[in-house]
Order: sequence, then structure tokens, then C-alpha cells
Amino acid sequence: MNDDLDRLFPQGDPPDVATIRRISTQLATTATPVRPLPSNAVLWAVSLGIFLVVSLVVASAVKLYAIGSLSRPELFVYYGLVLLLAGLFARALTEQMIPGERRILNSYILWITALAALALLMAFMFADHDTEHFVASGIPCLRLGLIGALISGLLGWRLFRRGYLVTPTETMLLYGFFAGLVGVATLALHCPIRNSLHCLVWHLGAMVVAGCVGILLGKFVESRGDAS
Amino acid sequence: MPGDDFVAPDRPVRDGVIEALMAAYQQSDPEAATALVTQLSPPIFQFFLAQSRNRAEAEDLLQDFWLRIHKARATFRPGEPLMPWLYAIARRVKVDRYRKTKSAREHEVLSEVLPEKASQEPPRQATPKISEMLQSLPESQREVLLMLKVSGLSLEEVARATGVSIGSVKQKAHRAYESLRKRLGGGE
Repeated sequence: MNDDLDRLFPQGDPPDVATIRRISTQLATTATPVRPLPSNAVLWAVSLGIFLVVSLVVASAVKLYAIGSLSRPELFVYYGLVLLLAGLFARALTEQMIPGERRILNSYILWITALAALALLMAFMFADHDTEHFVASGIPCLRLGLIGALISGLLGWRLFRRGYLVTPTETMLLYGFFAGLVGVATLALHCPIRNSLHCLVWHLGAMVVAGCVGILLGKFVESRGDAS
Repeated sequence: MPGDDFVAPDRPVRDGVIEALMAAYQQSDPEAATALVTQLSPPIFQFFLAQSRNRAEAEDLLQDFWLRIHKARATFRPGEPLMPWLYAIARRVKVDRYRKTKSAREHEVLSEVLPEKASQEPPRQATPKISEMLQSLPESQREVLLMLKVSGLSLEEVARATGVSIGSVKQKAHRAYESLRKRLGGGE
């Protein structure tokens, strides 16, 4: 039965010869040598490098107060989770940059899982729920997180723009969350406030804001109709 | 049965050769560019034609496709399979065109322009029945079926080109076949 169906599919209806000739002439005359993108491992390492360097440099500039306020197990779990997520985001972004690349990670599942995992960790690790000076202490944190996100976003773009986005909105959303994760990492190194509400709203908020900016940029790229 | 003129799909280009041509094209070899366009345009054109309203639109998509390939050529890495890379870009070209056309149509309706003239395009050579049946399939099933049956891609290549798992490709192809089979059965 499949054979009967197979025979029905259109075959052998070639494009106009003049069209092919015009296209090949155009391509042959305008071609200049290009350097292919490096391997996935290199792209992944560069992305992760940007994550580490930006979060460390920005947090160091405003002092690494958080390290002293966390116990060893807390440091291991908190920083371990952030680093693991950064590695996964870098891998997913690498897959998104190359058309036809094998997709190991589903980007939507990744960012939802990342937000949920960080929210759970912050809610359970920091038991303090006091809301005194909630906004006054939160705004500087959100601002610092967004500065980290912005710097990494701009630096990463130099690498990222060499790729071709086949799903611009999905990719830019992921890119926004990755930049936002740099903000979360910066605050995890700097902010000594061990308050779950503060961390959930102002630290994770930087990631959510960056993700939203990513969606808007993705929609803009998509509306232009060419993601190269 | 209609469509007896059509033969089973053959892969237009053998593995390895076309990737070598692409690598040469990246180094600005004009002969490689010509060979690539000549060898790859027919299957890509079929892919567009089966999803377009007419030949002119499919040829337009083909030109847009090669323009994008030219811009994105640095993202192909020698040693990787070329077909998933090509078809991932072809899908993007089609989606962008669909969005543009949809927006233009909405604009036309809003501004109440003259009623659309009957199509003066030459009839497509594909059997009308199969083309109508293909149009009735959901977008995701149609493109999977076309890549498998018209372009001769493997399940793995289709999975990479569409960014889904092989299992999902199999499922879509199976559903598309079921749907076509029902329609064929009903029409006979």
C-alpha cells in the first residue's frame, strides 16, 4: 500500500533552466571565501567562558560578599546548579546556531526546568521570608543582575551572530535566559541576603526580564524575515 | 490509479560528493557553486512546489533559498551532513514567505481591493489529486512526508532538518500516510 502511495508523489518537475542559470551565475560571481564555524565543543566552551568571565568580573567589581555568607554544602549546591544550567544552556544555544544540527536539548523544557530548579533551591535553601526593605534592597540586585545579563548578552552576540537562526523566537528566548543566568550567577556571588523572597523576585527576576527581552528580539528578527 | 507516471524517489546526490562541493563553495570555487545549484535545485524546487500555489512562487522561493544559503554558508561545517542543513534553511524560507503572504492577504482584505483573479498560472505537473491531498495535511506532516518521499532524505536527516526526534518524524509520517490512505480509499 505504501508503494502505491509512494508512486503518487510528484517527481521530475524541474525548475526553469534559466532560473538555475541565473542563480548559479549570481552565486559564482559573488562568492568569497568564508571560514566555517568551529566545532560544537569550541562554541560551547566559548559560551561557557563568557558566562564565567562576565559573572566573576561583574561580581568582583562589587565584591564577592555572598561566598562568605554561604556554608560549604550551600556553595556546592547553589553554584553547582547554576554552573550545570549554564553548561546546558550553552549546549542548547550551540545547537540552535547551526541549521540542521542534532537537537539533544529541548529549549522550552530547558528554560522552564531551569527556572523551576532555581526557584525551588532558593525557596528551600534560604528560610528567611522577611519582607522588610524588600523593594529597597531588591532594586540594586535587579539592576546588577541586568547589568551582568546585558554585558554577557552583548559579548555573546559577537559569537552568536555568526550562526543562522532557523527558529529565531525560540533561540532568542533561550539566549535571553542564558544572559539572565549570568545575572543570577553574578548575584549568587555578590548578594549576601539569605532571604528566599528576595532571591526569588529580584535575582530570578533578572533572568525572567532577560528572557522577555530575548522573546521581543526574536520576534523582531522573525519579522525581518531573514535570520542570517 | 492516478500518478502512475511518477517514479519512486531517488536521492539526487550521493553522500560525500555534495558535502565536498559545499566545502569548495565555501572557499569561493565558482564551479562548485554552479554544480551545487544544478544538482540541488531540482529536489529543493520539488519541496517548494508541493507546498506552493504555483510554479512562479516555487521558483521565487528557490531563488530566496539560494540567497540564504549564500549568506549562511559559513554555518555549514565540513564533515557534517549537508542535507539536514539545506532543508532546515529551506523550511525557514518557506515559513518566512508564508508569513509575508499571509500578512499581504490580510492587508488586501482590509483595504478591499479588487477581487482576486482566477489563476492564470500553468497547471502544476503533479497529479492534482495528490497535491490536493498534500495540502489537506497539517503543515508538519506534509513537510516530513515531502522530505522523506520527494527529497529522499533519511529519518535521521529529516529529524535534524526539522529539529525534532526520529520518533516524532516516524509518528508524523505514519499519521500522514494514514490520512492519505483514508482519502485514497474514500475517493476510489
